[in-house]
Amino acid sequence: MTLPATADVVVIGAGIAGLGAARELEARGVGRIVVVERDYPGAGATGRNVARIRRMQLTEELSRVAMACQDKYERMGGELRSNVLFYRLGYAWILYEQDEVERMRDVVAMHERLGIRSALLSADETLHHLPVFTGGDPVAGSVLSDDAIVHHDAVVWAHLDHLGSAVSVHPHTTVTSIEHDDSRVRAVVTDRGRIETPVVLNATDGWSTEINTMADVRMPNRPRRREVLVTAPLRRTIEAAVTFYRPAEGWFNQTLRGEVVMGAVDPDEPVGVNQRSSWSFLRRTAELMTRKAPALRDVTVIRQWAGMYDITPDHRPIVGPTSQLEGWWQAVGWSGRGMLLAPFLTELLAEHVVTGTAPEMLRSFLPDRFSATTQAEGDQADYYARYSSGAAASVD
Amino acid sequence: MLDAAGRSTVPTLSVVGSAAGLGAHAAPEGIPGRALVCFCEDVHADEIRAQVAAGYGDPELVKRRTGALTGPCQGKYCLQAFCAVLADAAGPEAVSGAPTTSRPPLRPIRLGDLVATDEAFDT
Repeated sequence: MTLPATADVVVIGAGIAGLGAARELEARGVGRIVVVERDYPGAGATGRNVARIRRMQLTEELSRVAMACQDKYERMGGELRSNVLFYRLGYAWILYEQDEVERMRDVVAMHERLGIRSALLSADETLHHLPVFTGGDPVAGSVLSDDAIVHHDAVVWAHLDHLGSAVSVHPHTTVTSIEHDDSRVRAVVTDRGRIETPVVLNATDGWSTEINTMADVRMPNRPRRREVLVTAPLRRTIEAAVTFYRPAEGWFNQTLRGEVVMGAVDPDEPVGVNQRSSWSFLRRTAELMTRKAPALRDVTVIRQWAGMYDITPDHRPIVGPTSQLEGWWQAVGWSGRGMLLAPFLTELLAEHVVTGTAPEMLRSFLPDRFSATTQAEGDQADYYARYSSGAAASVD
Repeated sequence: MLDAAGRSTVPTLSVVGSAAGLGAHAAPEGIPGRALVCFCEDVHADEIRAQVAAGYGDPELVKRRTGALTGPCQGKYCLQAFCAVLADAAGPEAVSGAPTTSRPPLRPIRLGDLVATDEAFDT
């Protein structure tokens, strides 16, 4: 397909953020939307994650946003006329320390106020619902909810199949430079041609710093690798998607095909784009999972892979325009939550583009909460520290 | 078993790829639609052709949409056949280079066996 010479909006990146934004812009009457993608649609973090769609969050504000996000996924199959395999697998935080249990009493009470169905389970109740933990490190309890998974690829294809004639998607097209003057963005230059446009949306997540740099826009988000492994399928035995944060962060769940996907997080993962698989990940994950769930000793690993988390200092995405360059929009820095957040937040972004005003729920995600001199920080090793009231207050 | 054009003379058997003596990804004409490409995930030639026809001819997308190459063998038994059918349907350029990414482990391995490996091996 020939690359158009002009566009009303150029979207860089055909992952869930870029395709979601393209769809929402088209639905609001924006004409000539051109999506350019370095590889194939979904090649970045969108095609490499495990697509957990979780409402229960540690803070009320994030839980409210996540509820709207999950609602959007529940409607998505009907709206896009394509099955995105939305499935309420269940979701559990497995708690190993007593102070985590105490913290969760307040969190579960907050969920109840909002209408999220979660429950704090004792150690015995946890093993009853999730017998896979029997014989492993002693659990202190868990929080169980009726949260969901989707299939990430099905979500991408549902979007691609649903896009109308206002949108053209150009895979295997690499952005080489951004033309702008002192006041505003002018054009996107690629290895397949130049596109003149008044509006550019950077939706490249892990690669967004590289693209922002081309436009002389400075943001504090930085990419870090996350690794995953998948096992051969087995009969459905694990009755929820599980995550634990202490003493080491990790997670696993069964896919609808019965495979177990899992990962033990490396707290010392350095900054940088790196999608290679490591032996240390395989060893770390095998050790952590067999210690917590000895029954998993007999599952067989068939593949491991890696994707990028684009992490912001406050672990919240960067969505909206920037005062640093007129016409330059971003939907990046998803911090590992892009599948959950992007369809809904790009809807709000599209609303902002066409009305010129940020919808209320988008305000705390706007890029200008960071200045051009905000330093990129090291990642918080302790999961809960990222969502402590102090950290949240500093960005609201 | 093969005629001059590399076609199988056995009615139920298709020979593709280098086994047909036609080069890595070359396919003899007339691969039957029901020819089995991926044994692990039960993917047939027609399913691959249908993806090309629907605009999903990139090998990475054919893989994800059909499940071919994603089973326990991870393509070790089927990559040649997969490429042959895709080249036949979408043109040889569709499978030039490495059509999909190979990833560890080389063979399926129990989590328990990974834990049992010698610490000194971990470099």
